[in-house]
Amino acid sequence: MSAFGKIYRSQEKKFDAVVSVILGLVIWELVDSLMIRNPLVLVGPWRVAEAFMKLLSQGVLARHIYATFGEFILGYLIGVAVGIGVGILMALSRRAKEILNPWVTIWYNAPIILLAPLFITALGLGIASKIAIVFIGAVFPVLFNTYTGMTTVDGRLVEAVRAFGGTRWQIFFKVTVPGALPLVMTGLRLSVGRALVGAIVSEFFGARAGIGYLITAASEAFRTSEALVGVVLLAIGGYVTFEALKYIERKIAPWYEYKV
Amino acid sequence: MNAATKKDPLVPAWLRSSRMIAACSVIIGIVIWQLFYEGLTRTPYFREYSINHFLASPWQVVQTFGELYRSGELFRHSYFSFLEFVYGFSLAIVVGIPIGFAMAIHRKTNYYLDPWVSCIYATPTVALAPIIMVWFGLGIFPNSLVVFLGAVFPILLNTYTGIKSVRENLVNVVRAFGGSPLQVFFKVMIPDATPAIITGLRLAVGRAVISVVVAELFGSEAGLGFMVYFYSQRFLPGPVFVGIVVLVAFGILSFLALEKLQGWLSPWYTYQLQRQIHRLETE
Repeated sequence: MSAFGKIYRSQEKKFDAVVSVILGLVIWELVDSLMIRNPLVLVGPWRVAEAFMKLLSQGVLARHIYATFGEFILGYLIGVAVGIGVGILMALSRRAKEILNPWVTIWYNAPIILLAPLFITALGLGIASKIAIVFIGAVFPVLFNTYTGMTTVDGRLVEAVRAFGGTRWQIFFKVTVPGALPLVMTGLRLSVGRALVGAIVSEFFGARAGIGYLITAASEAFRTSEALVGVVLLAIGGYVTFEALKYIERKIAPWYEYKV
Repeated sequence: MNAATKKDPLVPAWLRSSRMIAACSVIIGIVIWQLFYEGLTRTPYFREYSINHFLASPWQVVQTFGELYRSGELFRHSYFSFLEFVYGFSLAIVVGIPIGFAMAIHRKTNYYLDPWVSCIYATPTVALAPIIMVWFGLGIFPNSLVVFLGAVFPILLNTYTGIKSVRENLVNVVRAFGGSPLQVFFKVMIPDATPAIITGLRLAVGRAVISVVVAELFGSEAGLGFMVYFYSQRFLPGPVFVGIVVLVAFGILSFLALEKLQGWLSPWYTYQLQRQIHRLETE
């Protein structure tokens, strides 16, 4: 027992996480099978797993995941490239910053999701309209974080490099870029969430495939278990991407102070 | 060093301030949009691609705004959306802050809740909207629930980080001078965590607005999201832009209000903390 206690204490957080997840699933299953017992309303984890296996074996799931992933990754990559580019431009040129700032602020705070129906009218039900919406969702967090990262670099570091005779380029590459990196990475991570919301909601409006389409189609037909499969997939996808980017962030900028 | 501070006798100083440039930028942008639209109407593409089905000129947006305002439609929809926002957001504050606090001060609570919180936080909660409609039907309550789900996690996580990052030496000072745990709580922890909590609220407003809109798209009889969907299905882009303008105005107003609140509650919060808080905000 003491050996087990030792292992438990050293890995307490992980043990507790596993226990918590199992407990949660068991409670959910019990509530479903003992209290509600209406598959139209609540479905337990067991039936969600069954629905998952069914969709997987029919090959439907792969098609939906593939569609959403394609929209997501294309829109996201274009958004990241444009966001970093414009962010650097705004950080380097004061004029560009003054001209672009009001527009960027407005767009960043606007619920761009509302434009989704218009994009679908303009670009059709296919992948183009979704990429556009994902792009708009992804671009602004990256842009803002790149800009903030580059303009809030510690002035003392810049002065130190200058005092030792560093050139402008050296300041840019040795101080500004590494200093901005952690915030840029944060922007990338934040964009994932917005881009996913963009992809899903644009599929709600009209699509032929995709996880968002799966969720609406299933819940309109009261196949709640299939809709929950979609939600669980999104949860796993979002979580994995989030944690992966967090890990890369630590690898790239280990000097950055994570605790505030 | 840079162009803006150089003496330029032709352009007076007030015209060169960044506020003026911002205003000019917005006005010029709108004028370009209008001219672009006017130009488009004169090309054959306008009819061919039926551009008026998805694009409106600023002037048309203003006209539509007037029409919707006069018919009372705009007020009715905005009021409905506002109610949903208020219910969902208040519930998120009432639930999020205590749970965040409990997670920060009690280790076990943190260990047990953390996997669920971080997993649901990374999920786009709007994906739950169709399922919530199936469960609870249409109306204000289920929509508020979607808003709650969108808003609660930023508030919870920022409260958690805010309390976690309370400066140790401040707590020690109060303790050394014989402060009770209650005094530590009210005089140190709450004030020191306030900027982070307000940042969480600010972040939550954005998510809540998106949740309001998405929830209304699915099923509702009123609300700005409903209005936008209704008209976009009829290929009338004007009301869509009106809806966006109203929501942007609401977003900016609540942002300014929270900034004021922050200045009022924690006036010591300065720019040196900005970067750290920014980090928090995006965490």
